[in-house]
Amino acid sequence: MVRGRDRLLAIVALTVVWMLLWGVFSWVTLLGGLLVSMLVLTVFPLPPVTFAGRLRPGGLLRVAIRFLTDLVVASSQLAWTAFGGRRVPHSAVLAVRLSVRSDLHLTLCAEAVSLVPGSLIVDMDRAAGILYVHVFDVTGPADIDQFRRDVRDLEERIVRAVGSDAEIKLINEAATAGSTSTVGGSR
Amino acid sequence: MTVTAVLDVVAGVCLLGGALLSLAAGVGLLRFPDLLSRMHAATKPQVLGLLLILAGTAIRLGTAVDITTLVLVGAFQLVTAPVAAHMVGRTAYRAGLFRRDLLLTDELAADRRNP
Amino acid sequence: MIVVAAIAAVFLAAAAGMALGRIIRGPSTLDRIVGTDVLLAITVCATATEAAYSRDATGLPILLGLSLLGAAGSVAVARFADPVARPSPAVSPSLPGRGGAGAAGSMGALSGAESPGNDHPAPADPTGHQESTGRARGPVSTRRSREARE
Repeated sequence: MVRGRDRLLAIVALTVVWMLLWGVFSWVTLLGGLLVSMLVLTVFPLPPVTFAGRLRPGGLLRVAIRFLTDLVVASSQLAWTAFGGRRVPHSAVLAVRLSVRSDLHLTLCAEAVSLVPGSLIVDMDRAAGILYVHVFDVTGPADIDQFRRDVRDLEERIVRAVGSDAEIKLINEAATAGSTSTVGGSR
Repeated sequence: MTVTAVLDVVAGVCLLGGALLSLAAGVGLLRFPDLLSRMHAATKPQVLGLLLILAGTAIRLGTAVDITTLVLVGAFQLVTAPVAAHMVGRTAYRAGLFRRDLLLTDELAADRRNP
Repeated sequence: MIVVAAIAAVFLAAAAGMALGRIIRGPSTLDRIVGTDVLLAITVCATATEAAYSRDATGLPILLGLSLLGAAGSVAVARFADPVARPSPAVSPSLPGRGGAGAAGSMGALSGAESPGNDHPAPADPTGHQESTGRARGPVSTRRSREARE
């Protein structure tokens, strides 16, 4: 049943891409998209990555807005560093442990972290749910703590946008239990 | 001012912003001290710079067909860019292509020593 | 609009020049990959700027292709340059055809970078079996990406 839901989601997503490619929203592109995406999913089946959550419009909007502001702030800071003085910028490689450990969630968090300039995923421990992030232009321990908090906030926003109820519960527990949580697996 | 004039100004600002970010990336690429730092510079034109320029182009073109194409370009870029960045970053770290003296902490190395 | 286009063109050309500078200077293969990535992003930006300036959508399908496949090349080369995943030095010169000498040279450039990289021990990898598939696939995908770029 879960597989069926995943397949349905994939078909919908591929159909949307197909319609965007054509740029025409009509019955022809809709039916054509359904046909092509079913064909594609039959020939190239998806790996078993399940999407257990629900899409929440409010949470998605919050993620998008916050992501864009982060992007602008980080990009301008980095541009300033690039054009700026002779100071050699320092960095740090940090380990950030996520509360939710499903593969999809790990991927989403890693993508969001590495899309923002100034943080780059160097490695990750999939079993333990740890991201190793190279952070650029760090001046001291305060920056490091701030960055850890930023990533945790990001994770929380992502879970509240697309996570399942169980994952949201996990996040709430982690938030009340304190910052460095070692809560068990997601399911 | 007419609506098209205002839209042109907005588009122009977007285009200039994107171009400026690309320039900053070029400067950072030449000036930053080690490979991992340079990769941060590379992220800029790939993400925000590109998004700005695509927005400017979408405003200028203004037809549904072109805008959907531009949306797809942005989406594909946002999905694929981190993959390449992660692979290159991981390889760079493992090959030791970074200046250890510039790192304040290295928790990955610590975790590798005593897992 | 012509002023905007001219200024943007100057910025983008300067950025492309600097990315080229990084590609030429290296010093490692991965530096060149990063430079190539930036150059590709600048190409996409320039094509989009041209489309915006002339209100002409001819170039947009090019952008689609570049944004989808741009990452594939660097992923392939990064996989090949990985000291854990790459085959032992005795095996690596067996690259097919014309790529052989160039690849061997780039390997040398990789290890002879600004930091004395080789004293950093290759760390034990937790995902052993993935690495072995990467080893099997590495040279093939690199060759493909080379052919795609030429």
